[in-house]
Amino acid sequence: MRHLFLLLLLLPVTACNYNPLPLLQNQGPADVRDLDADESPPLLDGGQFQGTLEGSDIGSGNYSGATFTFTGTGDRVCLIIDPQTVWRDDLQLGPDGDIDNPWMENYPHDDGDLDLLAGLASYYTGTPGVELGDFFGSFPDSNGVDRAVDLNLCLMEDYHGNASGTAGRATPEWCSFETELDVTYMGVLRVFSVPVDDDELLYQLDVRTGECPEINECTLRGDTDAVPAEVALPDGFTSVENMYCDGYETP
Amino acid sequence: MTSRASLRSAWAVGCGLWAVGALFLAGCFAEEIPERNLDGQVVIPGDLVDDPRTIGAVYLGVYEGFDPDQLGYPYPSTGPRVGDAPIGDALPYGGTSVGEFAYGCYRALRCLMVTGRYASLEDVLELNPVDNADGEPVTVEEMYDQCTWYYGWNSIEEFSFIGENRLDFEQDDAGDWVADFRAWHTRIPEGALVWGFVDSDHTTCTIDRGAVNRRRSEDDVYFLEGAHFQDILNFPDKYITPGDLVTSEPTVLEADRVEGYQLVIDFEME
Repeated sequence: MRHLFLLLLLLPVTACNYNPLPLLQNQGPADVRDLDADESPPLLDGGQFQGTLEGSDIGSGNYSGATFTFTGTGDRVCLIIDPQTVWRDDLQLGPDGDIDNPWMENYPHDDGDLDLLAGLASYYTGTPGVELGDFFGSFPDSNGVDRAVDLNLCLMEDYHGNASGTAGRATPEWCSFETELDVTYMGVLRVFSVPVDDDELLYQLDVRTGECPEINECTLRGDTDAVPAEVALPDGFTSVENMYCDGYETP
Repeated sequence: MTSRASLRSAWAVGCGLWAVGALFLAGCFAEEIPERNLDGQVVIPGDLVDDPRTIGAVYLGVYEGFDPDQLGYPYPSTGPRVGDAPIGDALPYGGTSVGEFAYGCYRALRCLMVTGRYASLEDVLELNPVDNADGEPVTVEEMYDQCTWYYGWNSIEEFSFIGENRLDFEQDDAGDWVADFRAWHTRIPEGALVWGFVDSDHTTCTIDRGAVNRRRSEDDVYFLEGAHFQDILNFPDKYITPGDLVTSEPTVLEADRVEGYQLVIDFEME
C-alpha cells in the first residue's frame, strides 16, 4: 500500500523527465563574439569574413552569436551569411571505391544554422561580446496596451512571400535594406544549431553595397571544414564546395 | 494492529481530501486573460451590392486607432515603417473574417470560392463557370461527382461551401446585407476600433498556399488548394484594390462591452 502510494506520487515527476537534447542543442555558456574587436573585422565592401561559433544554450534562452557594426552610406547594403555546410566534408572515398560520389551527400552532422538580423545599432538590445540581443522594442499605445515592435531591418521573404522568413540548416541567409548616411548599423548572427560532429560552426559573412545578387550555396565559399589529408578528391579539387560549385569547370 | 489500521484509514482519508481540495483549487484559478470574444454584425449597404453571392471575403480587425489621411482612404493607424515596407504594420489586437476561401473541387476555382455565399452547386457554377476536359461547361452533376471523388463526400449535405443554412448574409428591412461576426480571443481595450474591408476580387488569396491536393490529379500535377495570405489584417493596404469596400467610419469599442457591435463597410475603392 505504502509503495503503491509512493509510486503514484512519483508518477507526475516522471512526466517531467524529458530530454530536449534530441530536439535542441543546449550547450553553454553561450559563445558571444564582438567581431569589431577582431584583428580583421568584417567591413562594408571589405570582402568575405570567415568566422566560427560554438553552440547556443537555447534551453536557457542564451544564444551564441556574433555582432558587427558598419556605417550607413545612404545607399542599400546587402548582408549575406552562409553557415556550414551542405555537403559531406569529412567523408572519403573508400579504397574499394564502392561509394559513388560520396562528397555530394547531404550529411546533417556537419551542418549548422545561423539566423541573420540587422538594424540600427541604437535599437540593439544586446551587448556585443557579452550577451546576444535583437531589435525588439515595445511601447504603450494610445489605448494603454503594451505593444511589441520588431525593428529588425534584415527581412527575408519566406516561401509564401511574407517577410521575416529564415533559411534552414546550412542554407545562406541574406537581406538588403536602405541605410542612412553616417548612421551606425548592427549586424547580428544568431546561432540556431552547430554541427554535432565537432561542435563548431564555420561560416562566411559578406557585407556589400547595393542590392543582393542571386544567392546560392556557391555565392560565398569557405563554409566547409578542410578535407582530411588522407582524402584525395577527384580532378585535383581540394574542397568539396569548390568541387560542387566548379565541378563542370577546369579546377 | 488496530491502531495501524486506523492510521492507514486516516492516511487514506487525508489523501482523498487533499486530492478533492486540489481539484477545487484548480477550478478556481483565475487566468486573467485579457482576450475576449467580440461579437457583432457586418453591414454592407444594399446599394453597393446587388447579389450577396458576389460579396468576397470580409476581413475585420480590432485596431488601436484610425488614420484616414495616411493613404488617402479610410485606414487604421499604423506602427512605424520598418525597412522596405511601404507602410507600417497596423498591429491589430485581433480580428476575424466572414467567409473563407474554399477549394471548389476544380483547380480553376482556386481562390474564387468563398464560403457562406452559395446555396447550391447551381449558384457556384452560375457565378464561376468551369469547363470540363472536353471544353464543355461543367454541369451540376459533374461537379457533384468531382467533389465527392475529391473530398470523399457522400451526400450534398457534406458540401461545406454550399447550403441554404450556411449563408452568411441576409437582407434586412432597409435592403442592406447583414452578417454576424465573432472575433475570437481578441484584446478589446476601450477606445479601440473595429475596421474592415471586403475583398471583392479575391486578391487576399494565393494559389501558393493551402492544403496539398488530397487526390492525385489525372495529369499527375502536384498543387495547393489555395488559401488567404497571413498578414491581411496587419497590412490590409497590400490587398485592397479598386472595387473593394472599406469601412469609412470605424466602430468604437466601449468598456466591458463585447457584443452587439455593428460594422458598416460602405466605402468603395476607386
